[in-house]
Amino acid sequence: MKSNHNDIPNIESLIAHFNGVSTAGQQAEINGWIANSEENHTLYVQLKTVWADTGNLKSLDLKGLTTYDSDKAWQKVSSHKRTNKGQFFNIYPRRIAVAAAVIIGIFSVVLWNQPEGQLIASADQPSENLLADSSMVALNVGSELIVTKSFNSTERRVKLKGEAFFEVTPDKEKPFIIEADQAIIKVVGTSFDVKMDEKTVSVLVETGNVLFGKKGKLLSLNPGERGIYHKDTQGLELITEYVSNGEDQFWRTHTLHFNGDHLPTIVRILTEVYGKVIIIDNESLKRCRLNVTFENDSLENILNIMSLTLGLEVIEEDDKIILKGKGCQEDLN
Amino acid sequence: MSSNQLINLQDEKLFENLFKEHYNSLVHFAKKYVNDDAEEVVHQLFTRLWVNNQSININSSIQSYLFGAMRNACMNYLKHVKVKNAYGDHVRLTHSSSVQIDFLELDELNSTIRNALDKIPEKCREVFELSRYEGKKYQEIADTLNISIKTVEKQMSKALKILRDELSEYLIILILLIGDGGKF
Repeated sequence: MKSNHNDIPNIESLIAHFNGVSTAGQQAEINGWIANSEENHTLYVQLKTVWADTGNLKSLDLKGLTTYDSDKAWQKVSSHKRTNKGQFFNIYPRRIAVAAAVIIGIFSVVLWNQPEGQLIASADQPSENLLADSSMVALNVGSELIVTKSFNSTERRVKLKGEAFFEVTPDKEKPFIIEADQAIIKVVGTSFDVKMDEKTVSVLVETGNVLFGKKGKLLSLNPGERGIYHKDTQGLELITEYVSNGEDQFWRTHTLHFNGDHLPTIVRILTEVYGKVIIIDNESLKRCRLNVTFENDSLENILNIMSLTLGLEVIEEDDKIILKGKGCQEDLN
Repeated sequence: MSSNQLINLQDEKLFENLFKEHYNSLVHFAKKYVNDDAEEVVHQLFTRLWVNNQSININSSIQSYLFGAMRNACMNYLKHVKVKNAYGDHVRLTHSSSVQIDFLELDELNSTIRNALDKIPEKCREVFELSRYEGKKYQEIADTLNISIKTVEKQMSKALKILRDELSEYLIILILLIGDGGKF
């Protein structure tokens, strides 16, 4: 019998994938098939839907299944409502989905062809983009990336304006090269952030090794290190012990972490990230410390948690927030 | 089953109760379509419902409505998850408020799926059910039914084709760009 599914590599592979038990080989086969054409992708969505439909028909029995935390989830949803009227935040998971996929859906991304190559621009929301070599680029608001026409032939060359976080797929044969203003960043397979302003270009390495500098003069950066290229002197500054509370990657991760930091530090970072003036009302409050991670939280939620933990009183005035309270004891050490 | 009911979504307490009551079962439902991203897609659906809609008009029950909307959101999500070669040929502009029109509420959908399953010939359905509901591998199905693996593959292919044809009307992925205030 000839069926319409002849172009599907193998239905057993597809079912293994639907059931979440496919092998790496099966997964690669399916990814290849899906990527092959728009029709294949549509057919994939339809078959996946049919598979899920028939499954849900028989098993909407929730006994014995994981219970999800609806209170916590509600916090998230209701904070979107309050903080983002009319549009909503990036609530897609940051990691790349099973099918090595790129999520374009809710973001405002513009793609168009330029003489140099393909231009990707993030307008009013950060975007996540998957390149032809499976590398992922998260592009901050107002940033642009040009993927050169010869990308992925003998090398992988892109040009960046603004800020982006790269997760580069390892490929020793084809170095990944970013032209960032005057500076160059060269990697084989790693993840790191690049940003620039009028005077500097800076790179912060998350994993792997990054070569950074000017053509012919590249310096190697290790995980946790930050390199800053100064345009006026054409010199490179290396910061080996870079400490952060997550504020510089907040645009992408929506996460802040404090490990025993004092309230003034926390307030400074919250002000930076949320753009709201926060004032500490009395001196003894400045001794308070906090150990906490905030992920996808609104400022309102964060202040609520802080007020519960530290016994603060949060007073909102028109353009500022005032923190009052008894404060904390002197540090014992 | 009551007919047409108007639910005011701007009543925060009501919306919160609605969310909490159905959250768990919606996530399990969505998991079948979008796996580990289920919670994310449920958050999105509710955020979108809340931000874009003053009220919703439902035909059967709120539960049935939510599950129908959920299935739709999942299909949309799958469609938006673009795979590799992302730099296609056209300008892509998407709005955060893209909302889909027209979907089946779950009660309607379930009877359509049951009918579709009934259309599959018996032998073929036996193979499909062993795979779908008992999670058996091709080899195990072949052993159980004493048929060849090739036959299993053929029957599975046939079953999926019949299901896809029967459900074709409900597998249309509409991606509409609607401004704020777009209605379901």
